[in-house]
Amino acid sequence: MNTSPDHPDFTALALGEHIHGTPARAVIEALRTSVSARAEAEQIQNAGRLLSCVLKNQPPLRLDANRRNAIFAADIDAVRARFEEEERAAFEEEDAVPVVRRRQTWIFPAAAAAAIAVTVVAALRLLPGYSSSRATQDPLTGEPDNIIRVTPGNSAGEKSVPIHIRQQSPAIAEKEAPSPVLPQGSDLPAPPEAPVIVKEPMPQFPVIPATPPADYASPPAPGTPASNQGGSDTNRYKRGGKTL
Amino acid sequence: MNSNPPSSTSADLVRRAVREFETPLVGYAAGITHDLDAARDVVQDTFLKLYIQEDAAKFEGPGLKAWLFTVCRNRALDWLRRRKKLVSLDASPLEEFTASDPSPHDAAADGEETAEILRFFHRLPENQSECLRLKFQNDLSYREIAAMTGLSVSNVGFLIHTGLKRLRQLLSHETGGVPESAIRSTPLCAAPHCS
Repeated sequence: MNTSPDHPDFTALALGEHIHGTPARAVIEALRTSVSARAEAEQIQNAGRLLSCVLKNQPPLRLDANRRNAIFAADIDAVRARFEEEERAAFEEEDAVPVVRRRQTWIFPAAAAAAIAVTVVAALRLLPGYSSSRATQDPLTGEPDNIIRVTPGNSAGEKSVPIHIRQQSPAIAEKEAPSPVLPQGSDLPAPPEAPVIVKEPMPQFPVIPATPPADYASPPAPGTPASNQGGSDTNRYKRGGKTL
Repeated sequence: MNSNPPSSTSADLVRRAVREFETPLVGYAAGITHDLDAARDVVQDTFLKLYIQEDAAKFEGPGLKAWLFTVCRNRALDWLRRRKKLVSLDASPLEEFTASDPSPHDAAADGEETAEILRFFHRLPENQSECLRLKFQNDLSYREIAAMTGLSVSNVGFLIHTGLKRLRQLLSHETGGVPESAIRSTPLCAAPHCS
């Protein structure tokens, strides 16, 4: 059971409300044993008393004489008829509310929100920066950018480049400013040079032809003595003066 | 047109109700409508409605008070709904009433302090201030407030707890707490009903 002073049950008991069962027992036990709980209860009572004083001492608001006399001199039939008429009017007013207004008021805001969303998306698509048709064009020249894409047609031995690497177009390279030249004797350190990306050609590996060369001989069958292997195999099994 | 005066029983009941509850009901209705004229209309209709109640026996004891406040609240909310009036917490006409028509007791009291507490009170959310008003101004129990407002007793307890806590925070922030000595030294609280 929560006996914290910051709990509605604690406030209720401090204000003299009748609460029953476990909450009441727990709060009473806390008030009996804890000094801080008693201090908190006293603060709650003080605040309630102060508020009560302030609210009760507001200037009294009364009925004016005409209204008071009208109450005492009321014709009970007229009063009954008036309230019945009022109730009937309230029911009719409720029934007169169109179904669309009463139950489907969410349709119009939802439609407006959807229309706004479609308009925003369409506007974004029309902007040059977001247009997919210009995505592969050079921003300066408008020419198609040199994006190398890996296509399924790449065969063995061709250069394979990852898809995210772009080659710089010559137009951009020409417009790049030269690196600044510092005056003689300047203490300023030289600015770091832009990293130069050297594109090295991919190593060319020997292509193994589909048909063996003329001097190619099948490796000796297992169990064949080395003396019977023939001279033409010497090149294949010796390289750099070593027997492989 | 022949007028049908109310029976002596219901007339007595209404007289007693007006005598005892006129002021708290007008104050309560004004707290909801924020319009004194409308509040008076609402309270007049509440008393008139008491005439046409069939079973006068249910109004013996505390039942009358709860019934009057419930009807008054419903009619005040109806008035608000009809007028589609937005209630502003910042500009309460009750503050204007205080400023324009101070009671002799208020005049003797420290008006500044009262105005400060009322200012904090009007900064509370509407549902919290309503429950606090019913509890501390009209001396209704949690159960009666729950029956009037349609809330559960636990919910009423929570609203009063939260509202009072917030009020204490505002007071302690501005004045350094609400000590018993400060309350006792306030001329406002020397009134008999505040003891």
